[in-house]
Amino acid sequence: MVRNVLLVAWRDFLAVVRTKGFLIGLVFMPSVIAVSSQLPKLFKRFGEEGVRRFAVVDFTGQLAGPIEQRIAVRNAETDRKVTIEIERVDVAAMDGAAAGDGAAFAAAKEKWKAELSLRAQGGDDSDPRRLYGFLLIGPRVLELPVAAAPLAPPRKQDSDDDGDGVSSTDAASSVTYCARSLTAGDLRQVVSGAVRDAVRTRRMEAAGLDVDLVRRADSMAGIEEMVIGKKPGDLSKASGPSEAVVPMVAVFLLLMGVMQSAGMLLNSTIEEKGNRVVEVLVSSIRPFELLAGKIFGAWLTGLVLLLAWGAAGYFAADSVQWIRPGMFSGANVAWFAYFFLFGYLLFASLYAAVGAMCTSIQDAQSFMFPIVILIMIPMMSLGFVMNQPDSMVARVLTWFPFSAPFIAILRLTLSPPAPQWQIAVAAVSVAIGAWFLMWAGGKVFRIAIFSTGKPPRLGEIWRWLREA
Amino acid sequence: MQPAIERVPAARAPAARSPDRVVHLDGVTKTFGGHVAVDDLTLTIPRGSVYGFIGPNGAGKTSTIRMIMHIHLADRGSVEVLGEPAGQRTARRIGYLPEERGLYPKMRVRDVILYFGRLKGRSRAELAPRIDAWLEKFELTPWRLKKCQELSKGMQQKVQFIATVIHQPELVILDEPFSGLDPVNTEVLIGVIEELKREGKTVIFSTHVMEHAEKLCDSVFMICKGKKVLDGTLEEIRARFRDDVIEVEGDGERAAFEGAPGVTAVREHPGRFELTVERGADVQRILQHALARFRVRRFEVRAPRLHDIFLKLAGDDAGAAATVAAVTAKGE
Repeated sequence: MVRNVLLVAWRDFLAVVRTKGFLIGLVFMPSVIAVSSQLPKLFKRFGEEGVRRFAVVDFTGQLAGPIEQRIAVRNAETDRKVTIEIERVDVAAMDGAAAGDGAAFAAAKEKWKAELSLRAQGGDDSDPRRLYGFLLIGPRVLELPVAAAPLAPPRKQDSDDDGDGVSSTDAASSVTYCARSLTAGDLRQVVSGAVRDAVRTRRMEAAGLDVDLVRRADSMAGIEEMVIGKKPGDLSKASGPSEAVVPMVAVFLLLMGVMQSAGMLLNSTIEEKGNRVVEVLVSSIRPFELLAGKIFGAWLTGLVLLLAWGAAGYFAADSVQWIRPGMFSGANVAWFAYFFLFGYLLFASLYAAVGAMCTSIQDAQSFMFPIVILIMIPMMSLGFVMNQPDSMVARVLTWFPFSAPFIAILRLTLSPPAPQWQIAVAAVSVAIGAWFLMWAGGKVFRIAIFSTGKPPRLGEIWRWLREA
Repeated sequence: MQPAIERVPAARAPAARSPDRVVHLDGVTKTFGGHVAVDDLTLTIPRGSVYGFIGPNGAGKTSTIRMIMHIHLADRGSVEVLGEPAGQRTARRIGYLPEERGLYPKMRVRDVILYFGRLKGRSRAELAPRIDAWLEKFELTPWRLKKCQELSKGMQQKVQFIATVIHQPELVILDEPFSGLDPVNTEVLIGVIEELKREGKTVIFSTHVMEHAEKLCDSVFMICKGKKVLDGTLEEIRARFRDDVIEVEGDGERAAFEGAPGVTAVREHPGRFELTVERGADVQRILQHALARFRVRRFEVRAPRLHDIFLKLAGDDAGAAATVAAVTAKGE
């Protein structure tokens, strides 16, 4: 009995493990993890190079210098491949505009826009005078607004008004940034950051403030984030991304493991049904032994994948200190193993029953749809559970057999971890669900494995369940 | 979906066991949905015999075989195999070649035979030398490490056959073993079946090709619409059907045979006459009658071919039941 189960399991396991697809899958995920961690460096290394020339039309006459200084500091940073060049445009020739006369400025602005755009549009990259973009700094930019904006969360200031909808007074106190691309690289952030910084400094100087003092007042050490644990004195340092990413990845791995195994089970069952090996098999061993062997063999394939991916993921996360102590304690690893086994059994019995009813993947697809929905429920609720880990909905999802394995793992690795009694309820729920489905799926499997022709209708399956 | 197999345990009547019989079906009925596949079938297969199952498509041959294999359970009646009620234990002692062949396409020839043999409870050490010997016999040695999908259909058929007999079963059941084989391989397989018989194994095989049945079988069982229409040794059956047709060649008129005792119909062919006679008619008297009125060059009681019997029985269901009564009066 056990011998037959193991024989079937081992054959099914080898049949999968020896395929190229499996080996590729085995190394694929770890490679993706490794590559994606190296990708930013790689991009930097092979990124764009060269000079981006910006013209600065400064009607205040005071900002071009400080902007240039700040850009120079940025250019001096070691790993910059793109340098920014500032070309100061002399606006002294422009009578009236520099004085802040609204109408005169508007006219001058249009003239410069047209002229500088032409210099950005024409020519090719080898032309050293070719512009990448330009800045138009209104003459009244340095004036303080009459009333301060109410204290509000910082807003993004990236409206690129081109003057049409802006009154001349507003235009005179605004800065216009024009460039060949607003998305390429970090040029926009760098240049507008330099402008903002220069404006701020000048304004402070004009108001007689000690600029150095203000800078020091602004600077502050980062906020240290700690997680309060269960026991007295249990405080652990959290490192941003680990809090959300690691639990998500753990759930994802569990899902991949379960789906890998269940998918293999479905395929091999359909294959045996389709190529008629099944008749030889059931004339040698009991259908139950066949089912048990197939389920076990497919589980082993998932286990191998899970171990490979899990180990790769663990070391990757550990190398960047994303693993919080206690996140993968012995108890949590044991829970993970438990939910992998029973979560898999839950889906495996469904997959095996479907496989036994169908002779081709196409036939199986219509049966798979509701099962896929069951899988999607926990996946779609991950974000919600993470935000409100102890809400009623989260608890229900923890206890609903089909989502329990995934949500339980999520809540165990989140902080604070879910109470053990809730996890225990989830474990019982999954076990009962798995037991029931093994019973029902086994029945359907035993009957369906001998059937021929098109898949049964739901009514027929129901009859099998009641009669068998 | 066609009738699925409902595994309802059969009510088993205690049957008298005999060491001389390998399979004994007693009043077996199997129904799928509303369709009666096998109807009140009683059949005994003696040890060491080669038994042919014949019958039209859908007659119930495969259903009968599957009940012997314990893949189907009988709704009624009892199935005894190798001295005990059909079950998992008996199934493992049978070598079964299903009608629909199946091998794992991606498995190596040697591994697939080994796997099927081990599922039947044999050890790897036991099987390995036997596999090599069988592969040699079927000239498959060069292919032993190839994947099954790389083999031709005929070769796969041979691999499947080896997998069927590799665990040295006492009883071998072959469902349509010759389908898909070329004449050369058919002869090889016939040789192997004869060899199995010499070794004292019992072989049951189903076939559509009556020449195979005539060549190989000691006995033939024919099923039609779930009912047994013919069952007996080949000699018994031939004897039963022998006096059906007499062929006469010579000079004379058709009228010479009309009114002859036992002749029911006369058909004239160029140069010869075919007389259909009553069962049990006295051939000597017909000959005397003919000699008196006709210049006889040849007078032959045609040996009935299984093919004709098959056609007659399969095409004539109404008469079938009556035939059974007559033909199955064999020693039991």
